[in-house]
Amino acid sequence: MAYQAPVRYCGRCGAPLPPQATFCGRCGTPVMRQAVAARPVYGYPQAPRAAYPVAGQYKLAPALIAGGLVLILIVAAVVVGGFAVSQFVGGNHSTCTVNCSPKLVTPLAEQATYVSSAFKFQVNYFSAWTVRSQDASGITLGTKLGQIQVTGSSGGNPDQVLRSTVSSLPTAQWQDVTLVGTLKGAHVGNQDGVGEVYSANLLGASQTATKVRFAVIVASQRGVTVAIFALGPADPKNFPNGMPEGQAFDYLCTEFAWG
Amino acid sequence: MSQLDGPPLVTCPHCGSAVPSGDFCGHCGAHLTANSPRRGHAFAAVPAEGVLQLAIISTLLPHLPHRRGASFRLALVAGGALVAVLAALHLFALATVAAVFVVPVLYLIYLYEVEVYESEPWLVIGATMVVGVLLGIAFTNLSGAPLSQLQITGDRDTAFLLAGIAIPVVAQALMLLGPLFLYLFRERFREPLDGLSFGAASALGFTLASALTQFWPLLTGPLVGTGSALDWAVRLTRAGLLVMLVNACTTGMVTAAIWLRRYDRRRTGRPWRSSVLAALIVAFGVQIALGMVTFAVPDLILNVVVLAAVTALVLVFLRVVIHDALLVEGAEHEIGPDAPCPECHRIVPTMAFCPSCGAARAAASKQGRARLVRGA
Repeated sequence: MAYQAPVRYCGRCGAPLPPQATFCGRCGTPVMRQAVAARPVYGYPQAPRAAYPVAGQYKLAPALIAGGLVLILIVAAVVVGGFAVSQFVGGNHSTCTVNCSPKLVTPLAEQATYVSSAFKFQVNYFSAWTVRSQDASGITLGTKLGQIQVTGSSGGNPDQVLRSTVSSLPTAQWQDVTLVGTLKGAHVGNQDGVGEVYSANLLGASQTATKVRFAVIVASQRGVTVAIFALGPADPKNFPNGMPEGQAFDYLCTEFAWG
Repeated sequence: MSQLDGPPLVTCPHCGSAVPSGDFCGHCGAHLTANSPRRGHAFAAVPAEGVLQLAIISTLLPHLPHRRGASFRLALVAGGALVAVLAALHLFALATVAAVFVVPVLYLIYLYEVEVYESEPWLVIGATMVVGVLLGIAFTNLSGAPLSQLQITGDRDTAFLLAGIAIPVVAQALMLLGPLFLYLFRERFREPLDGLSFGAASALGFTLASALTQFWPLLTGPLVGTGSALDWAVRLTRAGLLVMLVNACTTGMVTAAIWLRRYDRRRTGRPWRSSVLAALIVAFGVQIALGMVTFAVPDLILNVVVLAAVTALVLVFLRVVIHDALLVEGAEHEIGPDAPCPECHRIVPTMAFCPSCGAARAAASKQGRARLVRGA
């Protein structure tokens, strides 16, 4: 660290020193020229133990720091966690499990179509929805609030496909996947199938958790099995099955055409 | 020691002052025997450690004497162990709450221990940590809804702009708000380490609230979770330790640099890395880079590995800023009576740096400094 004006001061009394001084004019302490020439370095005496804080004289005992932290964490976990859990246990959210299908079916204002080149089925959807991905066997659509995925495969039992669809969800992203109920009258186009609605917490890349509902509907016809995976934000209070876009999803299932 | 049988005076070749003989210059902190003004082997807050050493406790809690560091390291390990036990028992909600509280609570214990805030603790703590908490809750609620919707609808392009750039930038700016309030309205807290304390406290409050808000839907789930304990251990290490440390470091380095600018008005002679501009570039750059990496690397473990590497780098950078700041602080000539050094416990003249071990007096706790002034 270089100083512009190297004014010297006496290290004992703090008085300013003339440039060539060899003694302090105030207290008489001798002044040497260069630190690097001063050998050996002066050894400062150790302070008596009473002069500095030994363990017992600190504000907090060492054991109290770790113990106090753990105690505070336990209290915080119980209080905050208990409050949060009480929201879950004591919630008055009604879950629709029976006769949940929409009472009114609104026709699509403007629709677009996807045709599977591998399995020849046709999916009609709102043109406002965005195609996230598509290939020969299926399509993934971004809806206004959620997304819906239609996937075809050869053979397979609808029940097994439904189970494997749910169990293959990566646990790092899908937390607390819980069956809400079975969808009565689940169908894909003119084919009856099986369907279930689940609640879950979806963790994004930035670890933001979102309460979601998803429905899985599977049906088979002439050796082709189609699985529809519909995802949306959870709103069990205001919408059948807790899915705000359930009606639009249901319409897509109804409009589905087998090849 | 009488006046004349004390240490001989020598002239420091770096600052030109006549100072008591010792390993270090008591005025500028230079290492005299090694002839090293930057003394990279002796961190100004804890000279027993190097400047470029990776150390959480002595970097974020620089007012602690090194003997006290062990107690805080033990506490950090104990807190981590509690979180691990809760996660192993699949009590993920409780583990999450415990994890996000570990570092902020440890920091509050540290502030209590070293009495950083002197006579107006509640006002200062309120203006930093609580403001950080409130801003964290508000911002995460506001930004969380659109981010969740983009995530559910699978709109990755817009989500990348939001999660990778906009949210990290705004969050970093909000973490600086509380300390900047203190900078403007509490001028008597002048030392760069005061700025560091305020910045770190604000960031920890913000991150705590933000993490709780982000995880709230999970906390309101079943008490005993069904996910993988390993996933949760990694996730909570990320949220409870790494993100906390990164935010505390980036905010602390900016506030320390701002406080240093007020303290040291010289325009030349100060290293570029402790300038406000450098700190801002590093802080916002790190936040944006991490936001992008977090979004682009969906694998949780890989994500945490990258975050851990960045955390190590920002900890070291913050350490360099603290070191520079403490060396600049030593530029004032002040010589007091002999007193025990709070770091090495030797009887030394009260100066900006201990001539024996080189510890900066500004890094001693206010408690320790008061004792120094009184002459033990």
